[in-house]
Amino acid sequence: MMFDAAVLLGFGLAVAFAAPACAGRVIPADSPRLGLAFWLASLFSTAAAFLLAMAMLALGDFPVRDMLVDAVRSCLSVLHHYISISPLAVAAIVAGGTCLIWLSWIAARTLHGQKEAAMRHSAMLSATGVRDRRLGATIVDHPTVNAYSVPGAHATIVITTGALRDLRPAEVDAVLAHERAHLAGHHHVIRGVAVFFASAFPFLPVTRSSSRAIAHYLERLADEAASRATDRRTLAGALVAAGSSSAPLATLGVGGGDVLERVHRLLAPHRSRPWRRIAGGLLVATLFVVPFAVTAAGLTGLVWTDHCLLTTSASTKAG
Amino acid sequence: MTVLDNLHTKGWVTRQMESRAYRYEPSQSRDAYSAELMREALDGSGNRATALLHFVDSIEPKEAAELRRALLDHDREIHDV
Repeated sequence: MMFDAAVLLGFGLAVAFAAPACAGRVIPADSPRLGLAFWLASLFSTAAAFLLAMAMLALGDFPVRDMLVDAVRSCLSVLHHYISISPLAVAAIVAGGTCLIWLSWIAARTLHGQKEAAMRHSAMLSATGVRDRRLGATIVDHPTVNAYSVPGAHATIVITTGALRDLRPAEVDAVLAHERAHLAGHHHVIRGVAVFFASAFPFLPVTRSSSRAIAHYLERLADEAASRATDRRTLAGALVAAGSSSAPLATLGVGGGDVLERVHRLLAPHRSRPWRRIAGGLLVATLFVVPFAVTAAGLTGLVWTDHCLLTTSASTKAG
Repeated sequence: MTVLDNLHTKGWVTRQMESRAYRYEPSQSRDAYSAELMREALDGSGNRATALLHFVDSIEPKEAAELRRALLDHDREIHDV
Protein backbone atom coordinates (compact mmCIF):
# COMPACT_ATOMS: atom_id res chain seq x y z
CA MET A 1 0.00 0.00 0.00
CA MET A 2 2.80 2.41 0.87
CA PHE A 3 4.44 1.96 -2.50
CA ASP A 4 1.16 2.71 -4.24
CA ALA A 5 0.65 5.77 -2.07
CA ALA A 6 4.13 6.96 -2.94
CA VAL A 7 3.45 6.45 -6.63
CA LEU A 8 0.19 8.39 -6.33
CA LEU A 9 1.82 11.26 -4.45
CA GLY A 10 4.66 11.33 -6.93
CA PHE A 11 2.23 11.40 -9.81
CA GLY A 12 0.18 14.15 -8.18
CA LEU A 13 3.23 16.31 -7.59
CA ALA A 14 4.51 15.64 -11.08
CA VAL A 15 1.24 16.83 -12.59
CA ALA A 16 1.01 19.82 -10.23
CA PHE A 17 4.42 21.08 -11.27
CA ALA A 18 4.88 19.71 -14.76
CA ALA A 19 1.48 20.48 -16.25
CA PRO A 20 2.10 24.24 -16.59
CA ALA A 21 5.52 23.56 -18.07
CA CYS A 22 4.32 21.02 -20.65
CA ALA A 23 1.04 22.65 -21.56
CA GLY A 24 2.47 24.69 -24.39
CA ARG A 25 3.95 21.68 -26.12
CA VAL A 26 1.15 19.25 -25.50
CA ILE A 27 -1.93 21.26 -26.41
CA PRO A 28 -2.43 21.80 -30.15
CA ALA A 29 -2.90 25.52 -30.71
CA ASP A 30 -6.14 25.18 -32.65
CA SER A 31 -7.92 23.07 -30.07
CA PRO A 32 -9.38 25.10 -27.18
CA ARG A 33 -11.55 22.19 -26.12
CA LEU A 34 -8.49 20.01 -25.73
CA GLY A 35 -6.81 22.84 -23.84
CA LEU A 36 -9.73 23.06 -21.43
CA ALA A 37 -9.83 19.28 -21.04
CA PHE A 38 -6.10 19.15 -20.33
CA TRP A 39 -6.23 21.76 -17.56
CA LEU A 40 -9.36 20.36 -15.96
CA ALA A 41 -7.83 16.88 -16.10
CA SER A 42 -4.64 18.20 -14.48
CA LEU A 43 -6.58 19.81 -11.64
CA PHE A 44 -8.72 16.75 -11.10
CA SER A 45 -5.76 14.39 -11.33
CA THR A 46 -3.72 16.29 -8.75
CA ALA A 47 -6.55 16.38 -6.22
CA ALA A 48 -7.57 12.77 -6.85
CA ALA A 49 -3.97 11.54 -6.60
CA PHE A 50 -3.47 13.18 -3.21
CA LEU A 51 -6.80 12.06 -1.73
CA LEU A 52 -6.38 8.51 -3.02
CA ALA A 53 -2.80 8.38 -1.70
CA MET A 54 -4.17 9.29 1.72
CA ALA A 55 -6.84 6.64 1.36
CA MET A 56 -4.20 4.06 0.51
CA LEU A 57 -2.06 5.01 3.50
CA ALA A 58 -5.13 4.96 5.73
CA LEU A 59 -5.91 1.43 4.64
CA GLY A 60 -2.32 0.49 5.46
CA ASP A 61 -2.01 -3.17 6.26
CA PHE A 62 -5.72 -3.64 6.14
CA PRO A 63 -6.04 -6.96 4.34
CA VAL A 64 -8.14 -5.76 1.43
CA ARG A 65 -6.70 -8.44 -0.82
CA ASP A 66 -7.42 -11.14 1.71
CA MET A 67 -10.86 -9.69 2.21
CA LEU A 68 -11.65 -9.82 -1.48
CA VAL A 69 -10.41 -13.40 -1.85
CA ASP A 70 -12.41 -14.56 1.15
CA ALA A 71 -15.45 -12.60 0.02
CA VAL A 72 -15.34 -14.52 -3.20
CA ARG A 73 -15.24 -17.83 -1.24
CA SER A 74 -17.27 -16.88 1.79
CA CYS A 75 -18.23 -13.46 3.23
CA LEU A 76 -18.04 -14.33 6.87
CA SER A 77 -14.30 -15.09 7.23
CA VAL A 78 -13.40 -11.51 6.11
CA LEU A 79 -14.40 -10.09 9.48
CA HIS A 80 -11.80 -12.18 11.34
CA HIS A 81 -8.94 -10.48 9.56
CA TYR A 82 -9.62 -7.04 10.97
CA ILE A 83 -6.46 -5.52 12.41
CA SER A 84 -5.78 -2.46 14.48
CA ILE A 85 -5.05 0.82 12.69
CA SER A 86 -1.40 1.99 12.62
CA PRO A 87 -0.26 5.56 13.48
CA LEU A 88 0.52 6.16 9.82
CA ALA A 89 -3.04 5.25 8.91
CA VAL A 90 -4.38 7.67 11.51
CA ALA A 91 -2.20 10.44 10.17
CA ALA A 92 -3.39 9.70 6.65
CA ILE A 93 -7.03 9.80 7.75
CA VAL A 94 -6.44 13.14 9.42
CA ALA A 95 -4.64 14.56 6.39
CA GLY A 96 -7.20 13.28 3.91
CA GLY A 97 -10.09 14.35 6.09
CA THR A 98 -8.64 17.84 6.56
CA CYS A 99 -8.20 18.16 2.82
CA LEU A 100 -11.83 17.17 2.20
CA ILE A 101 -13.06 19.62 4.83
CA TRP A 102 -10.88 22.37 3.34
CA LEU A 103 -12.22 21.65 -0.14
CA SER A 104 -15.82 21.73 1.10
CA TRP A 105 -15.24 25.02 2.88
CA ILE A 106 -13.65 26.62 -0.19
CA ALA A 107 -16.43 25.27 -2.43
CA ALA A 108 -19.13 26.73 -0.18
CA ARG A 109 -17.33 30.05 0.10
CA THR A 110 -16.71 30.30 -3.65
CA LEU A 111 -20.31 29.45 -4.57
CA HIS A 112 -21.78 31.82 -2.00
CA GLY A 113 -19.41 34.62 -2.95
CA GLN A 114 -20.18 34.32 -6.64
CA LYS A 115 -23.93 34.12 -6.10
CA GLU A 116 -23.97 37.14 -3.81
CA ALA A 117 -21.82 39.18 -6.19
CA ALA A 118 -23.99 38.24 -9.16
CA MET A 119 -27.18 39.26 -7.36
CA ARG A 120 -25.76 42.60 -6.23
CA HIS A 121 -24.45 43.21 -9.72
CA SER A 122 -27.82 42.36 -11.29
CA ALA A 123 -29.61 44.73 -8.92
CA MET A 124 -27.32 47.62 -9.81
CA LEU A 125 -27.61 46.68 -13.47
CA SER A 126 -31.39 46.78 -13.48
CA ALA A 127 -31.27 50.23 -11.90
CA THR A 128 -28.52 51.67 -14.11
CA GLY A 129 -28.68 49.84 -17.42
CA VAL A 130 -31.16 50.15 -20.25
CA ARG A 131 -32.60 46.98 -21.72
CA ASP A 132 -32.61 46.94 -25.50
CA ARG A 133 -35.00 44.35 -26.88
CA ARG A 134 -33.69 44.49 -30.43
CA LEU A 135 -30.13 43.73 -29.36
CA GLY A 136 -31.25 41.37 -26.65
CA ALA A 137 -28.85 43.04 -24.23
CA THR A 138 -28.62 45.65 -21.49
CA ILE A 139 -26.78 48.85 -22.34
CA VAL A 140 -24.54 50.48 -19.74
CA ASP A 141 -23.35 54.04 -20.22
CA HIS A 142 -19.56 53.76 -20.28
CA PRO A 143 -16.92 55.18 -22.64
CA THR A 144 -14.93 51.95 -23.01
CA VAL A 145 -15.66 49.36 -25.68
CA ASN A 146 -16.60 46.19 -23.88
CA ALA A 147 -19.28 43.65 -23.11
CA TYR A 148 -19.83 40.95 -20.53
CA SER A 149 -22.34 38.30 -19.53
CA VAL A 150 -24.05 37.79 -16.18
CA PRO A 151 -25.04 34.17 -15.59
CA GLY A 152 -27.85 32.90 -13.43
CA ALA A 153 -31.61 32.71 -13.48
CA HIS A 154 -31.87 36.17 -15.03
CA ALA A 155 -28.90 35.80 -17.35
CA THR A 156 -28.06 39.04 -19.13
CA ILE A 157 -25.62 40.30 -21.70
CA VAL A 158 -24.26 43.77 -21.04
CA ILE A 159 -22.70 46.04 -23.64
CA THR A 160 -21.30 49.54 -23.21
CA THR A 161 -22.44 52.70 -25.01
CA GLY A 162 -18.80 53.04 -26.07
CA ALA A 163 -19.06 49.74 -27.92
CA LEU A 164 -22.24 50.75 -29.72
CA ARG A 165 -20.64 54.04 -30.70
CA ASP A 166 -17.22 52.79 -31.83
CA LEU A 167 -17.99 49.41 -33.38
CA ARG A 168 -19.61 48.68 -36.71
CA PRO A 169 -23.03 46.93 -36.58
CA ALA A 170 -21.50 43.65 -37.75
CA GLU A 171 -18.86 43.94 -35.03
CA VAL A 172 -21.54 44.57 -32.40
CA ASP A 173 -23.29 41.40 -33.58
CA ALA A 174 -20.03 39.50 -33.25
CA VAL A 175 -19.48 40.76 -29.70
CA LEU A 176 -23.02 39.84 -28.64
CA ALA A 177 -22.69 36.42 -30.26
CA HIS A 178 -19.46 35.90 -28.31
CA GLU A 179 -21.16 36.71 -25.00
CA ARG A 180 -24.18 34.55 -25.87
CA ALA A 181 -21.80 31.67 -26.45
CA HIS A 182 -20.44 32.08 -22.91
CA LEU A 183 -23.95 31.78 -21.50
CA ALA A 184 -25.01 28.92 -23.77
CA GLY A 185 -21.85 26.95 -22.98
CA HIS A 186 -22.15 27.46 -19.19
CA HIS A 187 -18.62 28.82 -19.22
CA HIS A 188 -19.09 30.55 -15.89
CA VAL A 189 -19.44 27.16 -14.24
CA ILE A 190 -16.18 25.93 -15.78
CA ARG A 191 -14.48 29.12 -14.68
CA GLY A 192 -15.95 28.61 -11.21
CA VAL A 193 -14.26 25.20 -11.05
CA ALA A 194 -10.91 26.75 -11.95
CA VAL A 195 -11.36 29.53 -9.39
CA PHE A 196 -12.32 26.94 -6.78
CA PHE A 197 -9.08 24.98 -7.25
CA ALA A 198 -7.04 28.19 -7.32
CA SER A 199 -8.57 29.21 -3.98
CA ALA A 200 -8.12 25.75 -2.47
CA PHE A 201 -4.50 25.10 -3.51
CA PRO A 202 -2.93 28.47 -4.35
CA PHE A 203 0.58 27.12 -3.65
CA LEU A 204 0.52 24.61 -6.53
CA PRO A 205 1.68 25.87 -9.95
CA VAL A 206 -1.04 23.88 -11.73
CA THR A 207 -3.87 25.84 -10.10
CA ARG A 208 -2.49 29.29 -10.84
CA SER A 209 -1.61 28.41 -14.42
CA SER A 210 -4.91 26.66 -15.03
CA SER A 211 -6.94 29.72 -13.99
CA ARG A 212 -5.26 31.83 -16.64
CA ALA A 213 -5.26 29.11 -19.27
CA ILE A 214 -8.89 28.08 -18.70
CA ALA A 215 -10.02 31.70 -18.96
CA HIS A 216 -8.13 31.96 -22.26
CA TYR A 217 -9.59 28.76 -23.72
CA LEU A 218 -13.11 29.78 -22.71
CA GLU A 219 -12.63 32.99 -24.65
CA ARG A 220 -11.33 30.99 -27.62
CA LEU A 221 -14.42 28.76 -27.56
CA ALA A 222 -16.71 31.80 -27.48
CA ASP A 223 -14.69 33.31 -30.32
CA GLU A 224 -15.26 30.18 -32.41
CA ALA A 225 -18.98 30.26 -31.73
CA ALA A 226 -19.15 33.97 -32.64
CA SER A 227 -17.15 33.28 -35.83
CA ARG A 228 -19.81 30.85 -36.92
CA ALA A 229 -22.51 33.48 -36.34
CA THR A 230 -20.71 36.30 -38.16
CA ASP A 231 -17.19 35.85 -39.56
CA ARG A 232 -13.63 35.69 -38.26
CA ARG A 233 -12.40 38.95 -39.71
CA THR A 234 -15.30 40.92 -38.19
CA LEU A 235 -14.71 39.43 -34.77
CA ALA A 236 -10.97 40.08 -35.04
CA GLY A 237 -11.72 43.69 -35.91
CA ALA A 238 -14.02 43.99 -32.91
CA LEU A 239 -11.35 42.53 -30.63
CA VAL A 240 -8.70 44.98 -31.79
CA ALA A 241 -11.08 47.94 -31.57
CA ALA A 242 -12.21 46.95 -28.10
CA GLY A 243 -8.75 46.15 -26.78
CA SER A 244 -7.15 49.33 -27.99
CA SER A 245 -9.90 51.69 -26.89
CA SER A 246 -10.37 50.56 -23.31
CA ALA A 247 -8.55 52.58 -20.71
CA PRO A 248 -6.67 50.19 -18.44
CA LEU A 249 -9.31 49.27 -15.88
CA ALA A 250 -7.64 46.01 -14.99
CA THR A 251 -3.99 45.48 -15.78
CA LEU A 252 -3.67 41.69 -15.80
CA GLY A 253 -7.01 40.44 -17.03
CA VAL A 254 -9.09 37.62 -15.77
CA GLY A 255 -11.26 37.02 -18.79
CA GLY A 256 -9.62 38.86 -21.67
CA GLY A 257 -7.04 36.15 -22.00
CA ASP A 258 -4.27 37.15 -24.36
CA VAL A 259 -5.89 39.20 -27.09
CA LEU A 260 -2.92 38.74 -29.44
CA GLU A 261 -3.28 34.99 -29.47
CA ARG A 262 -7.03 35.24 -30.02
CA VAL A 263 -6.69 37.60 -32.98
CA HIS A 264 -3.94 35.52 -34.57
CA ARG A 265 -6.07 32.39 -34.21
CA LEU A 266 -8.98 34.15 -35.87
CA LEU A 267 -6.98 35.56 -38.77
CA ALA A 268 -4.86 32.48 -39.48
CA PRO A 269 -6.62 29.36 -38.31
CA HIS A 270 -4.24 26.50 -38.90
CA ARG A 271 -5.23 22.92 -38.45
CA SER A 272 -2.83 20.79 -36.43
CA ARG A 273 -2.30 17.20 -37.54
CA PRO A 274 -4.85 14.65 -36.33
CA TRP A 275 -2.26 12.63 -34.43
CA ARG A 276 -1.59 15.59 -32.17
CA ARG A 277 -5.22 15.80 -31.19
CA ILE A 278 -5.39 12.05 -30.63
CA ALA A 279 -2.22 12.12 -28.54
CA GLY A 280 -3.59 15.05 -26.55
CA GLY A 281 -6.86 13.23 -25.98
CA LEU A 282 -5.03 10.14 -24.76
CA LEU A 283 -2.99 12.25 -22.36
CA VAL A 284 -6.16 13.83 -20.97
CA ALA A 285 -7.74 10.39 -20.52
CA THR A 286 -4.57 9.20 -18.80
CA LEU A 287 -4.67 12.11 -16.36
CA PHE A 288 -8.19 11.19 -15.35
CA VAL A 289 -7.61 7.44 -15.17
CA VAL A 290 -4.18 7.04 -13.54
CA PRO A 291 -5.10 7.92 -9.92
CA PHE A 292 -7.91 5.40 -9.93
CA ALA A 293 -5.99 2.76 -11.87
CA VAL A 294 -3.06 2.87 -9.44
CA THR A 295 -5.46 2.71 -6.49
CA ALA A 296 -7.35 -0.20 -7.99
CA ALA A 297 -4.09 -2.01 -8.74
CA GLY A 298 -2.90 -1.41 -5.20
CA LEU A 299 -6.09 -2.60 -3.60
CA THR A 300 -6.65 -5.71 -5.68
CA GLY A 301 -2.99 -6.29 -6.56
CA LEU A 302 -2.06 -9.94 -6.36
CA VAL A 303 -5.55 -11.39 -6.08
CA TRP A 304 -5.34 -13.48 -9.19
CA THR A 305 -1.73 -14.58 -8.90
CA ASP A 306 0.38 -15.83 -6.03
CA HIS A 307 -2.47 -17.58 -4.34
CA CYS A 308 -0.13 -19.37 -1.92
CA LEU A 309 1.22 -16.13 -0.46
CA LEU A 310 -2.27 -14.96 0.28
CA THR A 311 -3.24 -18.22 1.93
CA THR A 312 -0.12 -18.03 4.09
CA SER A 313 -0.73 -14.45 5.23
CA ALA A 314 -4.39 -15.23 5.78
CA SER A 315 -3.59 -18.15 8.04
CA THR A 316 -0.96 -16.05 9.89
CA LYS A 317 -3.48 -13.35 10.66
CA ALA A 318 -6.09 -15.86 11.71
CA GLY A 319 -3.53 -17.47 14.00
CA MET B 1 -30.18 39.88 4.08
CA THR B 2 -31.73 41.20 0.92
CA VAL B 3 -29.79 42.59 -2.00
CA LEU B 4 -30.86 46.14 -1.06
CA ASP B 5 -29.58 45.63 2.50
CA ASN B 6 -26.33 44.50 0.97
CA LEU B 7 -26.12 47.56 -1.30
CA HIS B 8 -26.95 49.79 1.68
CA THR B 9 -24.12 48.28 3.68
CA LYS B 10 -21.73 49.01 0.84
CA GLY B 11 -22.98 52.59 0.59
CA TRP B 12 -24.65 52.41 -2.80
CA VAL B 13 -28.13 53.26 -1.56
CA THR B 14 -29.54 55.37 1.25
CA ARG B 15 -32.74 54.53 3.07
CA GLN B 16 -35.42 56.12 5.16
CA MET B 17 -38.05 54.54 7.31
CA GLU B 18 -41.51 55.17 5.89
CA SER B 19 -44.42 53.68 7.77
CA ARG B 20 -42.84 50.38 8.80
CA ALA B 21 -40.90 49.92 5.55
CA TYR B 22 -37.69 51.29 4.14
CA ARG B 23 -37.59 53.54 1.14
CA TYR B 24 -34.32 53.12 -0.77
CA GLU B 25 -32.69 55.74 -2.93
CA PRO B 26 -29.48 55.72 -4.93
CA SER B 27 -26.66 57.53 -3.16
CA GLN B 28 -24.39 58.03 -6.16
CA SER B 29 -24.70 59.35 -9.68
CA ARG B 30 -25.58 57.11 -12.60
CA ASP B 31 -22.02 57.43 -13.87
CA ALA B 32 -20.69 56.14 -10.58
CA TYR B 33 -22.94 53.10 -10.83
CA SER B 34 -21.84 52.44 -14.42
CA ALA B 35 -18.20 52.75 -13.44
CA GLU B 36 -18.69 50.37 -10.53
CA LEU B 37 -20.53 47.86 -12.73
CA MET B 38 -17.68 47.80 -15.26
CA ARG B 39 -15.09 47.60 -12.50
CA GLU B 40 -16.86 44.63 -10.95
CA ALA B 41 -17.32 42.84 -14.25
CA LEU B 42 -13.68 43.20 -15.27
CA ASP B 43 -12.05 42.97 -11.89
CA GLY B 44 -14.52 41.43 -9.49
CA SER B 45 -14.04 44.22 -6.93
CA GLY B 46 -10.51 43.09 -6.17
CA ASN B 47 -11.61 39.49 -5.80
CA ARG B 48 -10.88 37.82 -9.11
CA ALA B 49 -13.27 35.04 -8.26
CA THR B 50 -16.33 37.23 -8.71
CA ALA B 51 -15.26 38.79 -11.99
CA LEU B 52 -17.52 38.03 -14.93
CA LEU B 53 -16.53 36.67 -18.32
CA HIS B 54 -16.05 39.74 -20.47
CA PHE B 55 -15.14 40.35 -24.07
CA VAL B 56 -11.63 41.69 -23.77
CA ASP B 57 -9.13 43.35 -21.46
CA SER B 58 -7.31 46.47 -22.46
CA ILE B 59 -4.02 45.93 -24.27
CA GLU B 60 -0.78 47.91 -24.49
CA PRO B 61 -0.59 50.49 -27.29
CA LYS B 62 2.32 48.47 -28.69
CA GLU B 63 0.20 45.35 -28.92
CA ALA B 64 -2.70 47.31 -30.39
CA ALA B 65 -0.42 48.63 -33.14
CA GLU B 66 0.83 45.11 -33.85
CA LEU B 67 -2.73 43.82 -34.11
CA ARG B 68 -3.83 46.61 -36.41
CA ARG B 69 -0.87 45.75 -38.63
CA ALA B 70 -1.92 42.09 -38.58
CA LEU B 71 -5.42 43.09 -39.68
CA LEU B 72 -4.03 45.24 -42.50
CA ASP B 73 -1.77 42.44 -43.71
CA HIS B 74 -4.66 40.01 -43.61
CA ASP B 75 -6.92 42.35 -45.60
CA ARG B 76 -4.19 42.96 -48.17
CA GLU B 77 -3.68 39.20 -48.64
CA ILE B 78 -7.37 38.60 -49.13
CA HIS B 79 -7.55 41.49 -51.57
CA ASP B 80 -4.60 40.20 -53.63
CA VAL B 81 -6.09 36.69 -53.85
